[in-house]
Amino acid sequence: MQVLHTHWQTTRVSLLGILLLGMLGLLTYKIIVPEDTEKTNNNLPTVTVPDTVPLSNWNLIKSQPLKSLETKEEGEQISAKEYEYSNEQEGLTAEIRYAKYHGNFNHFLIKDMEMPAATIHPHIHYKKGVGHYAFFEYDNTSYLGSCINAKGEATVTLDQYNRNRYLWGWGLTRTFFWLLGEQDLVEYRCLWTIMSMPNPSESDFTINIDPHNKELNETEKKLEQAWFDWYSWWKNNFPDY
Amino acid sequence: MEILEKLGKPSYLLLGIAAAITAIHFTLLEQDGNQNLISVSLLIWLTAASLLWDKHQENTLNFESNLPSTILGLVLIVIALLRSLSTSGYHFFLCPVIFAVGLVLITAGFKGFQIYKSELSVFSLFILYPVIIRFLGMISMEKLTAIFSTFMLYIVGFQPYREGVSIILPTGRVEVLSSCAGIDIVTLMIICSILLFFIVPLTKIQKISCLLLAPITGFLINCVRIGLLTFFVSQSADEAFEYWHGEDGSLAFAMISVVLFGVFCWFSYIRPLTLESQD
Repeated sequence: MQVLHTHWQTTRVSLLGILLLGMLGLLTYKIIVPEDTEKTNNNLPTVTVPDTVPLSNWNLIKSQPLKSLETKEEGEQISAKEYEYSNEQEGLTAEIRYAKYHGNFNHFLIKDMEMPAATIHPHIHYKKGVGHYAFFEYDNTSYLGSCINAKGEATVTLDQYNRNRYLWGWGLTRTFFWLLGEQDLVEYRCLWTIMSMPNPSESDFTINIDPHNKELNETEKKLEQAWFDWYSWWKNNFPDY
Repeated sequence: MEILEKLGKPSYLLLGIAAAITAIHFTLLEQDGNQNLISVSLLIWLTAASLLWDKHQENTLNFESNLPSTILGLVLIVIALLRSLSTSGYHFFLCPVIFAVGLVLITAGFKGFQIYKSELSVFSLFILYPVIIRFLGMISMEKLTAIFSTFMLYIVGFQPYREGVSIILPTGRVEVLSSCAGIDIVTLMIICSILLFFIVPLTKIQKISCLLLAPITGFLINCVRIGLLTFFVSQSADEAFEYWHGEDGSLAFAMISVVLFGVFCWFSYIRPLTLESQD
């Protein structure tokens, strides 16, 4: 018992000594290198959006950065890029936006696409392993929209985004970094994707009565195929931002 | 060699760790430059130190700890230390509490929560502070401040009138925004009055009167400040306005209200106690 007691005394003293030394080190470091909040804001790591994203059956023509509306309003730089593809007959445009904390489809349509969300009736499809994605038509163009989450599957509505976040976006290491203030408690990163193809000119005007039971037309099938390629590429090359 | 011998004792090492925590906290606060928070931190630290000194005098300090609680305490302190190194920075309200809990754990283990209960309560005021600020931000202090300042100016003999949160004198006009509405000063006074409970034994009625009187003092002193600022605007004394509107001026008024409250406490609570003990 006596031996154990002296053992504990020495361990305790050494533990406390190490802690004290560490604290003194930190203190001198903090005095020598004062925290400069303005400097850290300017030194935000700039995120680069990849120039090429390969899609099977489609050739990339060009890619260019997008100027999104939010840059002006909130003063934060949102990385976004537009890719144009073509095969022999048709063209396809795909846009990617690096979003964080924004998982609402209608909000995205209004804010980023400047579309009247109230008059757009998206029909949402689901495929296991990919997630939810929405088809809609606007201005004689077929669109496919979805948000590729860093963890879990792609989502469209805010409900889906939130559920996905709480199911897959949390982890023990993440909690540790959250305690240190380095990361969010759950994963918020999500890449807003919008893919569009102009409708073929001869297609007749159809009124869609039941949006949930709609067969995909030719254009939408092509979009869907391209979306699967697109999704797997981004999922494997998920950017760190 | 005496110093090495002393460093071999846990009590001196713990004292060193406590001093290092204090130094880190105030260094970071000084770099951040929030003067209200500096005064609140100073008051909290002094109160805790005074309580610890009392324990030292009564010889009730406890330095017995065991391995699990020491390790838990070390982890807590290291988390708070790493936090001050991380990009999001030191958390001025959360980190002192984590430090205090960690320090109690490495000092006296889990039974330390019982022994150092009052010290921990004093440090938990760091969490209460932002809560009070949020709460005061929700009730519209601007309008109340404007009403009382207008009233004071009227008593002194000016001809002010008020439109919403604006005070208007014939030659000038001032709008009371939330940053001048005295939220800081009232919060400081509330914290002050709670700290008083730990130092001076008070009856329930005295406590309640203290809790009411302190924020009212702060509020009225701030109204005097707003009235003075309106007077400067009406006299177009820009330099005086700049000074009393700036950080130094508002700190001076915060000090005036703390001193007034202190004088009140001295005459009504503390002096009777010392007279009793002399008898």
